[in-house]
Amino acid sequence: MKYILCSILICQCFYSTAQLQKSKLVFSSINNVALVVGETKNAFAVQSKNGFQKGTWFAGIGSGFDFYEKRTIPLFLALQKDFFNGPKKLFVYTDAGINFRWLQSTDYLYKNSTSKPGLYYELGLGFKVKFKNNTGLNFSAGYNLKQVKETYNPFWYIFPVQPPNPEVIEKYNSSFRRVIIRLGLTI
Amino acid sequence: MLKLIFKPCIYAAIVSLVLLQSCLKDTSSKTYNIFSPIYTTKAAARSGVKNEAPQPVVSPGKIFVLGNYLFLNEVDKGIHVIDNSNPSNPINKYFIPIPGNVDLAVKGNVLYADMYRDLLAIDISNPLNVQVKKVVENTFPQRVYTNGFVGDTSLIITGWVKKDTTIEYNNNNYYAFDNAVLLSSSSGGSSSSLNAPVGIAGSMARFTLMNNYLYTVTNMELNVIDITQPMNPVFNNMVQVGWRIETIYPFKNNLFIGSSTGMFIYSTTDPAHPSLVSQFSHVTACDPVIADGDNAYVTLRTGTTCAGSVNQLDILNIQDLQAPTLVKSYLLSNPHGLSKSGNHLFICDGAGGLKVFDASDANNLQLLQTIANINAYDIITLNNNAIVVAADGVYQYDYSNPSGLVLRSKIGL
Repeated sequence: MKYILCSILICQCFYSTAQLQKSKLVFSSINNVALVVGETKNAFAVQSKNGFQKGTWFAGIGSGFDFYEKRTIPLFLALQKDFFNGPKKLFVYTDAGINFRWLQSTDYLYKNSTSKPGLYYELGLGFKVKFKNNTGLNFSAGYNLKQVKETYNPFWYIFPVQPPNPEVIEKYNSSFRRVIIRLGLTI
Repeated sequence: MLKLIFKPCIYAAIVSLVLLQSCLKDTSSKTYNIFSPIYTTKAAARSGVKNEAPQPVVSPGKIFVLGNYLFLNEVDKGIHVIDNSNPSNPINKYFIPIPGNVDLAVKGNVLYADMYRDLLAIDISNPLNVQVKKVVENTFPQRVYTNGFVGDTSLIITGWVKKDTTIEYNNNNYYAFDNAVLLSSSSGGSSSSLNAPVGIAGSMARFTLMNNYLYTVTNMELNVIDITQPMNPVFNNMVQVGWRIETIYPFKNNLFIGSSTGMFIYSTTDPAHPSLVSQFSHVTACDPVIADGDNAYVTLRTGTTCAGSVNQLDILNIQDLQAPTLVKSYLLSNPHGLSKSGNHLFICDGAGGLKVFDASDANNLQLLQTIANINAYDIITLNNNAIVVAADGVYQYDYSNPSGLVLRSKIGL
């Protein structure tokens, strides 16, 4: 079975490479909303990927909002490969980049804290239906990781009349491995 | 069309959720410092209180001035004694190691300092032979360690061993101060005969001297300590003041006490039994206070430990001590200690630096100068010399021209 699958993939690659040489470079925008399913909770995310489509390949950059556990803004490079011709297509995609923390005033670490960008990536498989005007509806599911790195000075002294205190730093490093189910529009 | 999309979609979603279920994981690690205490016996710590070679100023705290000498607290470590005859060239003369020390006062040849819960009377008449003359035990019972480190009757903590530690946890519980040692501080103490010269403390002080009494504040109380015999301080009595008492400032037979909820004025007409004259409430904030003839100046600030959301200077009219009234509030960055010299008001505005105001009209303060780039904490102004304690050391400025302070020297990092 796996040999058959590999053969299909290899054939598809040769076929798409041939198509790539013939096809034009066109701007494409993939915008979707997502349900993020994690170990302990679910959340929503939105995302926009913008770039160019040439044949069955799409490459671009993307960003969005991710509300899972800690509000973050990912910024990433996106790559997508379509399979099969026609209005209905399967595709695989990957996003890779960095993730910025967007602190809320209700966050415990809001005061006296700084953050560094963490790793962000996603690998997934999707299905898309193309309409007449070159727009399309897409659905995908992928495995996603976002990392959040924060540094916090908690100001340890209980009493307020303390002289300037030496710096005491707490560093937090969180990783969230989730499944993301996306539904969106390609224009 | 919908059928075309949703069937495979739903299959794909279900399959991916099932296959990847075991891969769903939230992990968090927290890296922080664990401080393990180094214990010594009280007897050993007390016998170690003597003059030692001068040490660098690393973590400056409260400051006290007497004559040409500065007494500078090194937080929880001891006291630097600095010859300040020439403010442009202060000389660090010697260091008195006092574990747990945060407050001090000096009268004549007696230095009063806290050593965690105890008050020490230290004879400094001979700089080559500094000696503890009296220990008033348990004067500051609220000075305790939390999170497992409880004060002991025979042991005290003289230092800490710092170690980086990383722990893993899955519930993102940032409220867990795992194994952290939180040190709470209250303090008190000071001394001497009626004619002995009395020094000047900064506005963040919790010790003050008046007549033959040393007054100290703790979190809730005003302690009255009789120092008629300077080397032999005697705990006289304790007055319940309120919650979260922070600072004490003496002015004309009155004690102005700052707390996080308001300012209290106590009369020392009967010095052994201070009595409440009035109270002025304000929003919750940390609030050192000073006073002159007509007004009291209260700085309110926020901070993790202070709570509240206000950073400002309140000027109160105290011509009628029994009914202080608010004159005006001025917004500031994060004000701490303050001092007044003539018509000029000096405010340590935390990371906002040191600010100098023309305060001839309380209704219309004029900012004359801001010295930025220092994290100013407390200040004493004396004879055109402003002694400023900041996070990185002690700065001295010539303020003969209050609009153009001139840096004379810096002690510290």
